[in-house]
Amino acid sequence: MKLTGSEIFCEVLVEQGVDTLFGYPGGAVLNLYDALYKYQDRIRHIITAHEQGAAHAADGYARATGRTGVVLVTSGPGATNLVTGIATAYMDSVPMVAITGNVPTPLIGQDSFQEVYIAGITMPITKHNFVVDRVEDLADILREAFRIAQTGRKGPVLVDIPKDMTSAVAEFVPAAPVRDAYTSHIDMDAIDKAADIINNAQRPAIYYGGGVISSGASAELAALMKKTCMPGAYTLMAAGVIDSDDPLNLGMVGMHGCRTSNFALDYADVMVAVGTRFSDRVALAPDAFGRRAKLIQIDIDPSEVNKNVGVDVSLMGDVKDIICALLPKLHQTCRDEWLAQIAEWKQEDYHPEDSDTTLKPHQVIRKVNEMAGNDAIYVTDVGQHQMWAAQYLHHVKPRHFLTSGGLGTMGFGYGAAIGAKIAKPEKRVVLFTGDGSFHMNMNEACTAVSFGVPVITVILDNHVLGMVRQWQTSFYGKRYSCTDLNRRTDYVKVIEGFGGKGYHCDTLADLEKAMAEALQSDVPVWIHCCIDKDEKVLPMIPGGCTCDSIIME
Amino acid sequence: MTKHVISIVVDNNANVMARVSSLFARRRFNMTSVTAAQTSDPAVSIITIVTEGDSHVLDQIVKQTLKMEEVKSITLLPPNESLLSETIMLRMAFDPATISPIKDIVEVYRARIIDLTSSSMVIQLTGKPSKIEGFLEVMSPYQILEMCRSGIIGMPRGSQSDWWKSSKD
Repeated sequence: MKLTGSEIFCEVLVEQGVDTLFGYPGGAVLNLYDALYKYQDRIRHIITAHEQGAAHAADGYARATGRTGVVLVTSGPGATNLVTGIATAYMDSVPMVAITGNVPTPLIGQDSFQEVYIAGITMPITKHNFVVDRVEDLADILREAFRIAQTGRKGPVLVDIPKDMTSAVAEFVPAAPVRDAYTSHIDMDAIDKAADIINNAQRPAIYYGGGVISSGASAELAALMKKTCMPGAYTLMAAGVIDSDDPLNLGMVGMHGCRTSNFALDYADVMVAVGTRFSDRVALAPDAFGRRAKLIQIDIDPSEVNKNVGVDVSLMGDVKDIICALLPKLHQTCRDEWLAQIAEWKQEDYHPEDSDTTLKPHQVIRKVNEMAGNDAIYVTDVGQHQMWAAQYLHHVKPRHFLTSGGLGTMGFGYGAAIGAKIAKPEKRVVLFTGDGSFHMNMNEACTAVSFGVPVITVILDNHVLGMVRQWQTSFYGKRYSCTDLNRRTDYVKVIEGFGGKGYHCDTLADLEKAMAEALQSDVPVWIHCCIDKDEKVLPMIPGGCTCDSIIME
Repeated sequence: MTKHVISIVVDNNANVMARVSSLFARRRFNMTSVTAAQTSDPAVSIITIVTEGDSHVLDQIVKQTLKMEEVKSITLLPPNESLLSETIMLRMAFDPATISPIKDIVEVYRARIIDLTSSSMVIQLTGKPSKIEGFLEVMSPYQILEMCRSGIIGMPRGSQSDWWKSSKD
């Protein structure tokens, strides 16, 4: 059947199972939006306040579901506004398809109105990108974009569609949804070698990351830990992969990870890295990371092997497939001595003191967690509040803690929370943010109001850029250069102005009352909690150091 | 630092050269020279890059490049086991005292004079990299006005004619 490029675009989205688009119209995508008008019974379009919000919403949608998030924007500034959102998804391996309009083909390269070379701009932050030159190629390019985004190590793909491609006509042949085309080719010799190392270990430990979530391998990882009695420490990206109550699940590792996790990896004689990339926030001193251990790395991306830290054995493939191949070769083991050592370390872990008079970050997080429950999806922005949320939430399942890890994007949270709530309307969605991050993209409140998305936002307001200030305190002689925000924003008035509800809290009792009302609300709610500006994220291991240099107070 | 010549087989699409150079730039991989052109199969191009780095860097170059959608294969071309070639052009100034020794060098290296004026000449030489380097060294005492080099291209020795079709696996 003959269709216009715009109709082909809608047909492929429907064919690929896309029912939600985040986006923002404009001149170059008028034809696409005209077609979407006809497809509105099948494709829901969420217009955000800003294209960056749309990109983060598509990302949040993808993180919450594992399905590819889709964002559609116009050329020029519409496209450049996506850049931070695409880079955020790229760093955290989130499947996303970004579609940008562009000026008609004859105008490309002429510095035309709202023209930008977005394919060039996004080359380093996408798995791949396409410029559509022939309408006959449009359907297959879009399918290819979905295939690439969700195959192997996932990530964003951009398709740039010049306006004349959206009005031109071509034959459309329907196809089946693309699938993850990745297959693991398991090296059984390497599996045997790894099994032998683990079976002979005295103090083995697992270091696992976001790849376990991408692979859907929580149960397999838990089985691996249980059978071999191997404790595990998780990266920020893997909070919730395994229940926090599991005694073998030690806690977060890295710069602000718990002392026990960092010590366990430091003293381990075998370290099994699972779906993680030895980032500089965990392997703080790459040459000393796992210095007493034989290292085994399980990953889907061969380029991650020996990139930052050299390993002894690499097992390439999908995490789930590799664990399933490895597990039968491992002996059932008890490790009383090693677990006793870990229990001893646990006695030394950092526990913040409660207060009856002022709001303490950990108490705010725990109170919100207690009231919204472990089944809620928690989203964060970036900074101190993000670390506190990672540390003090009770994580029990994957895809329930959404945070910008690799890129550390302040302003990620609100868009991502809206995307998550739209993906999972039956779930409670709570955003933890700080006054710094929130001012970047709080405008997305209008999106939450317009689309009836009752996301709860808890603002931990310390009136400063807390994380930067903490570094200034510890490493820059308390010279607080430009981190005192001194903003006078009245959050309650602002959210009321947007059409939501706001609460200001001075005590835990206030917070409890505000949360109780927020949980019943059908409009977005902001809960404003003032905390002390000298609150620190602890423990902390400075960059380049080992756990020998851990700061506990 | 060891020099490596790598041959990258890619889809002959617009942008593919930009993608590869963008990867090298953002990961700070060295690129001493680069050439790119279509092959006998119009859908395929070969990019030949000369790079420097230890084995760890080379490992990353190969793995990161192989991840790209349009990259079909990568082959290392070790100088001793490969056919490598480069073309150089030199515009040399000369006077009655230097013309003769310059011409002698041209003869010894079997280079060619492809342009001549009353005071300068353009010399072209094609050969393996070590020959080009040697030629440059003996020419260096004379006045080189301009120089440009094609960058190295290469192939493995022997009868393995389908080396560049090898898959990513």
